Amino acid sequence: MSAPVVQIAGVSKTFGRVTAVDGVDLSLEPGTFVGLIGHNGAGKSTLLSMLVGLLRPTTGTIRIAGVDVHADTRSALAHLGAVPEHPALFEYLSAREHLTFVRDVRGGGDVDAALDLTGLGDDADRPIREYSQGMRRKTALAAAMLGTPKVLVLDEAINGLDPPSAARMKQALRARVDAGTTVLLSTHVVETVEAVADRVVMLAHGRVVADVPRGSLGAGALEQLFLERLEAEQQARRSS
Amino acid sequence: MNATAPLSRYRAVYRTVRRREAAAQGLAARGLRALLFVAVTVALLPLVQPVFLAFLDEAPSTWADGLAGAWGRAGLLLLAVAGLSAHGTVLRGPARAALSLHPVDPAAVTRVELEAAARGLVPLVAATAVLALPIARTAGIVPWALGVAVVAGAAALGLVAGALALLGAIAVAEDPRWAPLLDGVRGNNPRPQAALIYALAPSTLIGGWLVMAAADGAVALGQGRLAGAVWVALPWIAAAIGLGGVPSLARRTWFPASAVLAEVRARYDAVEHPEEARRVYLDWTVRWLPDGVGRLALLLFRYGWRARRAVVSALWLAALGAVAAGWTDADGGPLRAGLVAAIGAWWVGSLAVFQARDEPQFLGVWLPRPPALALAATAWCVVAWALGPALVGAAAVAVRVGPGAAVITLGVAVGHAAVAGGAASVCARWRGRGLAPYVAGAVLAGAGTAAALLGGGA
Repeated sequence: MSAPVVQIAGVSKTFGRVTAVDGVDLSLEPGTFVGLIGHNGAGKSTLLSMLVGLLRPTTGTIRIAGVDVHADTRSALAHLGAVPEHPALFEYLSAREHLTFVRDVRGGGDVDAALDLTGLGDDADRPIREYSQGMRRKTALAAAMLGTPKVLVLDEAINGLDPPSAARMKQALRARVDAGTTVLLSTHVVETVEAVADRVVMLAHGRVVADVPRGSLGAGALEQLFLERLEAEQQARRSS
Repeated sequence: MNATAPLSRYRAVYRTVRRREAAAQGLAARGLRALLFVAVTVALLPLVQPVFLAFLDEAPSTWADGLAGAWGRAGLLLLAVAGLSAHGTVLRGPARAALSLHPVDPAAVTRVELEAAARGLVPLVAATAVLALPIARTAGIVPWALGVAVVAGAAALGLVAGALALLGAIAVAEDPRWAPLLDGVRGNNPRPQAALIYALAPSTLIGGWLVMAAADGAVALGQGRLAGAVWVALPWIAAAIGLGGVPSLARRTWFPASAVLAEVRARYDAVEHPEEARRVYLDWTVRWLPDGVGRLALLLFRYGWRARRAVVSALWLAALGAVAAGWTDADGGPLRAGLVAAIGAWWVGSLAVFQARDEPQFLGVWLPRPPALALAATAWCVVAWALGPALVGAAAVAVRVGPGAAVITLGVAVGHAAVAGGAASVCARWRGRGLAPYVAGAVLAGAGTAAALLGGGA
C-alpha cells in the first residue's frame, strides 16, 4: 500500500462550548475516491476548511503530501485543489481569464481542457458575476483541477449541477482518481457517494462513525448504515 | 512546487478587475461621484481658513506653530485613513477569498493591494492640498508644497505601517504567549479579533509622532533651516524601510490570516455567543423609545452596523479630528471641535439615506414608516451615533479650555446631529435620489454654521 497523501491525526475543532469536529483520524491513500457524508451540521465543512488551511484545528495536525497544512499552507496548496461550499472567484474576470490566472499561479495546466470540462462554451468569456450558481461551481471545479494536484477537496461541489454537467464532472474526477489523484468529496446526498466513491467516511456530530469500502456494501445499504450509525451516535450522546 | 507567476501577472489581473468594476458602475455614476467629491472640496475651501487656518490672519511671525499644527493634524488624519485602507485591502481585501485556495505569492498579492490602496489615497492627498491653498496664497508656495509633502508622506507611512501592523497582528493572534494580554483587552470579541482591533494603535502612535515631527521640520525648512529636510523626509524613509519588510511578513502571515479571519467570523456567527452576535452598536438605546419609533431606530442601528459598519466605525476618525481641533488655547477651538464632530454627524446620517436606497421596495408596503416616527427614529440614531465624537471632542476642550467651552462643542455637535437626522429622514423618502440633496444640505449647514459662528467673532 502506498503512503497516505492525506493524514488527519487527532483533529478537533471547538468554537467556545460547541465541538464541531471531535478527534478525527483519517489517512487517505493516493488514487482513492472518498465520499464524506453526514447530516447537516455534522462538521463536514469545518473538517474540509481545516484541510485546506481556511480554519486552524484546535488540536491535531493535517498533512497533505507530507506538508503540514498549517505550518506551510502555500506549499500544501500546491498539492491541493479545493472547491469550498460557496466558491469564491474573481467576479469581474471571465472563466477563461480566471482559469488562466490560476494556471499561472499553479505553474501549469490546460485551460482549454478545463473549459471543455465546464461546458461553458461561449459563456467562458463573459464575466463570472453574470454566472448562475451552477456555472460558478463548474468554474471553481475546473480551477481546482488545474495543474493536476495530488488531492482534490470538494465541499458539496457536485450538488446543484445539471445532470449532464454532473455526469461529466464525475467522469473527469474518476479519471483523475485512476491517474493517482485522491478525491475527498463531501455531500449529504447518499446517492452521489454510492455512484462514485471507493470509500465512504460518515461523520455525525463531528465524529467519524463509519469508515467503510464502498464495495463492501450492497445497493441501498449505505443509507441504512448511515441512519443506524447516526442513531447510535445520538443515543450515545444522550446517555452521556 | 510553488507559484511561478511574476508580480506583473498579479498586477494585470488586479488592473483588469479594477477596470471592469469601474465600467460596471457606469460612466455617469463615476463621473457624478467624482464631481461630488470635487464640489464638496471646493465648497469646503472657503471654510478652511476661518476654521482651521485662522492663524494666517495674524502676523507672519506667529505662523510657525499654526502651520506645524495644521500640517500635523492633516497628516495624522491621512495616516489614520491610510491605516484603515490597509485593513480593507491587505487584510480583508475582496480578492482574499478567491486567492486563499491557491498557492499564490503573498508578497506579490500584498504588493499589488498596497499599490491599489495607494492609488485610492491620491484623491484625498490632492483634496488636502486644495483645501490648504490658503496657505499657498498667504504664506507662499514653498510652505504649502512642503506641507503637502508631509501629508503625502503621512499617507504612504500610514499604508505601510498599517500593513505591517495588521500582518504582524496575525502572528500575535496566533501566538499563545499573547493570549493572556489579548484576553484581558478583548471584551466581548473573540481573542484573535482583539489583536486586529488594536493593531493600528501602535502604528498610528509611532507614525503620528513621525508625522508631527515632519510637520515641524517642514516649517523649519520653510524658514531656511536645512535640518528640517531630514524630518520632512522621515515619514518617506520610514515608509520605504517598512516596505522592505512587508514581503517577508506577508509570506509568514498572509495565509494564516485567512484562518484567523475565518475563526473570528465563525465565533461572531454565534457559535459561541449567539445573544451577543445579534446585538449591534448602540441598539440598547432604543429601550427608552416608544414602540413605533424604537422599532424603526433598531432597524437603522442594525442596518448601519451590519451593512455599512465602516461608516459607523469611521466616526471615531471624527472623534480624533475633534480632539485635534479642540486641543488648543485659540478662541475658535471649541467651535472647531464641535464643527468636526458635526461633520461626523452628517457623515453617519447618510446611513438613513443609504438604508432607504438599499432596502427592497416591498418593505415600504409591509413595514410602513409614518414620516413623524421615521423622523424621530432617524434623529435619535444619528444623535446617538454622533454623541461619541461629540463627547470625546468636548472632553478634550474641557481639559484644555474649561467645562463652559465644552458645552459649546457639545451643543454644536448635537444640534447638527439632530438637524442631520431630520434631513436624512426627509432625503430618505427619495430613496436613491436622496443622497445628492443630503450632501448639499450637509455642505450648506456646515458652511452656514461656520459663517455664523466664526463671523460672530468667535
